[in-house]
Amino acid sequence: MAAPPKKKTPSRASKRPQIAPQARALEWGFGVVSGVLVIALLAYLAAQGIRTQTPPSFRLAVQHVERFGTTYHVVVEVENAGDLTAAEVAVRGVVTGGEPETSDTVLDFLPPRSTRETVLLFSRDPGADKLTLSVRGYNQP
Amino acid sequence: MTALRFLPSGALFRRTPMHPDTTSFLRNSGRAVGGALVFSLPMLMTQEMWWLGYAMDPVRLALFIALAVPMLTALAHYIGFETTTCWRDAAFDALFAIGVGILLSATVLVAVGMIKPGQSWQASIGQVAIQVVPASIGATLARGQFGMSPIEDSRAKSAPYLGEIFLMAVGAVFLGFNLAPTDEMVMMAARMTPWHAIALVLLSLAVMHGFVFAVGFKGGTELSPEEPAWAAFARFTLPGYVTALLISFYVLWTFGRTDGASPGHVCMAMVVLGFPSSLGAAAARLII
Repeated sequence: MAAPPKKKTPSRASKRPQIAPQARALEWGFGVVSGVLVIALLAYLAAQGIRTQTPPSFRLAVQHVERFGTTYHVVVEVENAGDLTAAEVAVRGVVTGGEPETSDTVLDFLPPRSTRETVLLFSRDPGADKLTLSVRGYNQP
Repeated sequence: MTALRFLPSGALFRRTPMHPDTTSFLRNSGRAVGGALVFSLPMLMTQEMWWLGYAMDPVRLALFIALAVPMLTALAHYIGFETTTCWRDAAFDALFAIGVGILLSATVLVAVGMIKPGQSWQASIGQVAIQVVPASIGATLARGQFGMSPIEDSRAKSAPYLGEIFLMAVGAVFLGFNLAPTDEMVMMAARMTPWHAIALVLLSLAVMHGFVFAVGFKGGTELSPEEPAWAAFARFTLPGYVTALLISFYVLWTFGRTDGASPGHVCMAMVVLGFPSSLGAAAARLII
């Protein structure tokens, strides 16, 4: 049992000098920097975990309106200002002033404190009339 | 026969220098195609990959493919062909692998009816382009892997420290790219709390460290028995995990998964994808 370690030691010793001191420093440098980054990530996640989690709340804003043929494309930015993700966010836009026109769309996922864009289509210019945006509901993933 | 003489003197014919003919070319190509198939079929048959091909930002896709060229060149240099001795050969191997990837992806997508005559050229090109990188990684790996002799094996394992990190990065790209396009990534990140993410970070590190020890790192950066476990952890596991996380972030960005997302959500998604990526990184030495 004592023989194998004895055999190994010289080969180990002969291999060691091949590694330059700079190479060693590089390896340890990588290790230290990586360790700091991982600890920072864990600390950030823990800080997120300690904070009280508010349910999803939405802010809607019209980004721009474009006309393609007879259709008006209203690009709507939806922001989730809460700390929890909302799934299947049902966004509705209603153009009033004259006969009301309704358009619906669904966002599959809206992560916390994030924004996504969605598009509502109308047959008349929503800029000329009054456009009301609302979120009708969402699922908890 | 004469047409083949136009090919560079290097890689393709070196495997069997005695017979620098069609047979060896075909055999090597067959290997590359086989490897590309094994590695890319899961992605060729993932629906998110079909629509991401034309829905994703083409500039990011182009950047990803452009970065794949030096990555495949370095991969071919380290492991690819046993006889790939110079960088020119390696670069040729990389381009050959990309060619195999393009042809194979296009063939399979047409065969399964995903590319049809009615579809626009832009959409079809995008669908093929997104599949090229995993397929060409497979092609490069297979050409080094199948029918490898023990001598070649020892050469493949004598990568320097940065080479080891690079191979880990390739492993992370491969497994990360496999999973990043799926909607499940977003679903998991949505359902998890930050505490789940912390647990997943620790789990990833533990699994990686297990691999680092199980596989061992041969060559210049060999782990020696007298070296304490924490030293190996600092020199390989931690840099490997951070590499996997960075690759995860890059892949998520490439697929547009980080657009409009808060830093917190990006971190969560990165940690979720970091789990398979770190596994790919750690297992890279088993596969490669």
